[in-house]
Amino acid sequence: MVSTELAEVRATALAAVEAAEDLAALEAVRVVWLGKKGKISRLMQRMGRLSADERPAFGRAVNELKGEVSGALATRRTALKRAEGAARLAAERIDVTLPGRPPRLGSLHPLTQTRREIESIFQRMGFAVERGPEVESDYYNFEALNLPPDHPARDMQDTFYVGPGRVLRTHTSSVQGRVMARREPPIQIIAPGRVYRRDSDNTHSPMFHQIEGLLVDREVSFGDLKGVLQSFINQIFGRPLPLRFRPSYFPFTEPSAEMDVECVMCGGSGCRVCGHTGWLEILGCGMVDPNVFDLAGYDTSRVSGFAFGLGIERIAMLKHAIPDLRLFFENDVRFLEQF
Amino acid sequence: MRFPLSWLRELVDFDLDLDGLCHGLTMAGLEVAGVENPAAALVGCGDRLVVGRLAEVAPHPDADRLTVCRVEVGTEVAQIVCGAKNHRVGDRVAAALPGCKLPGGMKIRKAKLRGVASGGMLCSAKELGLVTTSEGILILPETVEVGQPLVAALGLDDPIIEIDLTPNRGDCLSMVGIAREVAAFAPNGRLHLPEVAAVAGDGAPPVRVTLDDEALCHRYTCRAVEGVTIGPSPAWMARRLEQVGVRPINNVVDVTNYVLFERGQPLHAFDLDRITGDEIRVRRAADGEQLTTLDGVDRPLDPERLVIADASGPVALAGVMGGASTEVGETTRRLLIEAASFDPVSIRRTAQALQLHSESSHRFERQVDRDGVIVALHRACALLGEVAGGRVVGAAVDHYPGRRPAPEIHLDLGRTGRDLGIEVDTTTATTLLTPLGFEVVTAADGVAVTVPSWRNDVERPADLVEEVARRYGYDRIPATYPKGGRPAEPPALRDRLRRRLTDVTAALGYREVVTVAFTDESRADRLKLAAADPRRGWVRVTNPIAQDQAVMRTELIGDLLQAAAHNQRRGAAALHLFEVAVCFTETGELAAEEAEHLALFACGPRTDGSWQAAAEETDFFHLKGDLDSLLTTLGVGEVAWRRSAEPFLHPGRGADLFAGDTRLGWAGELHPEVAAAFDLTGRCLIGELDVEAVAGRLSEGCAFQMIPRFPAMERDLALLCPEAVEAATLVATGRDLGGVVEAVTLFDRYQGEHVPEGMVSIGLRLRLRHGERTLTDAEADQVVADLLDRLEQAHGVRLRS
Repeated sequence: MVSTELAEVRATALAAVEAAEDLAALEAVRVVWLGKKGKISRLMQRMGRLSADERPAFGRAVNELKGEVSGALATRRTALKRAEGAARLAAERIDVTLPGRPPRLGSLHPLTQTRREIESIFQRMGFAVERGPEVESDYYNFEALNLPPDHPARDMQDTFYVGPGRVLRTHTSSVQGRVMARREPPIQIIAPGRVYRRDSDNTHSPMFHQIEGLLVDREVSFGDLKGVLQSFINQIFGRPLPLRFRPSYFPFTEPSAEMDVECVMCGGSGCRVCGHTGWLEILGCGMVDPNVFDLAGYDTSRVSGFAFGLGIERIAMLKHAIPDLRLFFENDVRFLEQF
Repeated sequence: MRFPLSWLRELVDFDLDLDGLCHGLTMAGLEVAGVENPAAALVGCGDRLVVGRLAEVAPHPDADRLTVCRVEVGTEVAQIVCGAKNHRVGDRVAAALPGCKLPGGMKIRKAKLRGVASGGMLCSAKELGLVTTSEGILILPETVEVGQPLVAALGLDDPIIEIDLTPNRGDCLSMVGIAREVAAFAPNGRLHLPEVAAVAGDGAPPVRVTLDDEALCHRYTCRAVEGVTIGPSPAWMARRLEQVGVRPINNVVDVTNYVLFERGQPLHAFDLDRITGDEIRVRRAADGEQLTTLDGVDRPLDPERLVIADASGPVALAGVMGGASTEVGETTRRLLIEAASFDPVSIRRTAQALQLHSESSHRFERQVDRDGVIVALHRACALLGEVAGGRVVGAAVDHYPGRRPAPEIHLDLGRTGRDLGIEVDTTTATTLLTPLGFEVVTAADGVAVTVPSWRNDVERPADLVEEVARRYGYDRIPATYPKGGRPAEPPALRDRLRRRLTDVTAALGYREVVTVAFTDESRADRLKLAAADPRRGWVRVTNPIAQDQAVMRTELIGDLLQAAAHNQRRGAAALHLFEVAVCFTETGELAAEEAEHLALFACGPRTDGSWQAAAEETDFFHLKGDLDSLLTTLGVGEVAWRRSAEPFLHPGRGADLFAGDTRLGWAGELHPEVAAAFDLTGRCLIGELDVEAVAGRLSEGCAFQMIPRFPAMERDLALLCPEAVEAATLVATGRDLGGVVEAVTLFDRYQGEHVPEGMVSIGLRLRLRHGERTLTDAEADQVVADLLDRLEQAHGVRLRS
């Protein structure tokens, strides 16, 4: 009789487990069958009415039943949980082609990016970064660079004057004299910064940016200048480009040179950008003039050096094919966001 | 300097084509800026544009203004109807025949004009693109051969080469100078300059010359020429002057210009009959004297100006411009021709002071060949005989107080080689330098080089090193790399800070702009700056490019406002901009104060927004969050925001930023009146920091702080505060407890229902931690009780019930 009853309980309980539709219903089933006052627990209360012989078998049978129902509950719970998870994920489906939430992006001005690139190339070659004032004395802007008053070469740059004996520096070469005045050779520096010239059109801005370079040591040669600048050009344009050095004149270098690079637009075959010459004028350079060393109190029999000065705008325009200098200073965000 | 190829070829033989010549010039340092060929415009004409001769000119039967011409154009005769009036039988003319395409694009076809057949067109100089304006048709000289193509007949196929000369090469402001360079670099280069010899003159010189100031005049030569007939120059001379860019005037003036371009020596011709007395004085002008120059302008003089004077007073500004009173005119018969060498600085000052830059002053500023002065004078006198019938009188007057021995420079060849990175021996030096006129002889440790008189730019060994390099070829010097290592230096703290500042600001979503540092004083008014504001202490530009760029900026924010307005006008709504640049303040000393600033601008939506939600409008607290993040990231300690009195800020929404006692800058919402003055719309947030002040709050590097081992305990307090108590006060009161108080943050603020009038509900969060052990609840409760006690006593703050 007992075994029949247990079999019935078993069948009913397992059926109830299988019938539970969700976790809440399953929990209710558990309480009904396995709870402290559940039906299976209550079966154990019958033990007292059984004979001592019957008890062990009955106890074992009820425990087995308990185990079996617990197992069924666990299996069912896992199944229901998985199904519920799957349903939730299905409900959470989104259109992955909808646009993302945009963060706000900032950017560095292309002139800053170009300046940093140039700086880091020279820093890797051992040049340290120096700076100087933009309101500069006539002495450091001109005289210390072998440009005495009334020198015709002062016409080469249209100068802004800002009071007696003061100018807005016309080139970053002004830093040369300042560095040499406070330090002894060897010197290996670059000096980036704003410079000013009284000139304004689509290829000239009254304010623009230059980087000056100066290396002073024993036995520095014109060949060394060419080597350093070739290395710089290869790095800034990302490939070796043919260079052309031709004689020029700067009061603070002797010999002086203009350095041309093969036109990056047409590869030297001639185009509008290079004025159909195949060459782009990139920078001025030369060996430091002995008068500059004399003015700095350096012994010209012991030291030699080279200097160069290049325009950051020029490099940035070539790197990014920017046709008009004024774009840099208009600051239209549609221009800025491209860099 | 521009010149025709034909003139150069007359002075020097060389085996180079035009491209080779231009390349050679550029690589010698005489940069070719351009080449133009007048024949290029006539390339469409070919042999259909010829020299014609008018055999017959008859009136047109049906038109008063037209003529019917029979034009000999070689073997045939063309009938051409012409509308000009300046032609006569026998004239040689430019005849464009059918098939000819003129520079303006006009194609010549056979046509009928008022019923008469016309087989071509007689052209004006303008129609041929030779000049920009002309009247009537071009009448050619009788010497040109009829039937010849016009381009060949007129020698139009003569390229004009323009070179950009550096200021050191005054010697190349002349055909002779350029020819010397070409002779040196070109294959088979050989000079053949015109022979110049002094022609003997009868009688005595009619004037004497007194040189009062030998410092300003190194050499003065002059000679009288009689019997000249003023008239047009011969075609070859007029044409060459046109080719170099000078308008022919008359034969005398043209000769002085011709010699100037040929030899680089400026000359002046006086009408000798208009010179008063028989003495020419070269002297400084006296105060109060004045001179009417050739351009008709009365010029007051002073002792800074060197003049040529006769008994009546100044008759020319030495080396700059002649005077009107002695100007050569149609009736001139006797001349005094002057060639001199003046002090370059004096000439430059005079030319600058009087704004009188001429071909002459340009050359004197760059120094002329002193030894060549007399040669130029002889050359001019010979040409005057040739083209104006002039006869020299007496000997040339020649005062040469500034005579110098030819400079001799010792060149250390070992040093030369080391400086250039090549081997230079005596033979190399001699081979390279001799073709330029240098004399090279062997000397101890090198060579002794004698410099030719025209090379005023070569004074020192370094100048010769450049000549060696130039002749050797810069491109042939091998590229090497500097020997030896120099100790690397760490970047300065300021440089690292600037970089970090820029990077972090960009990372916070701001776009960097670069603005020009000039501004105008009215910007200070638009920014509502007070009269005594130090930002009105501008560095002023003496010679500004425009009146609105007359001072240097003292603040950066104005430039950002302008950049923002520019973008708003172009439709940008959301803007986040920044710039790092120098601001200038006048000190009265030689050095201005230059302070680097960082300025920020923000307006419009915080982000682009999305399909899910509109973006928040940027407000004060966004800007504050950005600036706090920036300063925290940089390593500036705690920053206090205190109400600001900056006049361009919204009076209730602006703050000064302090770290300790240092004011780092200010930030806040732009005053709406200022926004309007700058044409900005919407609420604008702005801020500006002094980079130097920020740098002063930083220390090198940052020390690691141990990560705490014991847990923190958090307590949130709901407080009821009087409205006037600022958030910073509540937070500071909490922090001042010290001890286990690690952080105090304000996480909620509410006013409205259930909060009494004049009060505000504040959520304050305390984070408490003990360094060595876990805190107990009782300890935490004690801290909270202490805080509530202080808040209530000091500020009337209560716990919300």
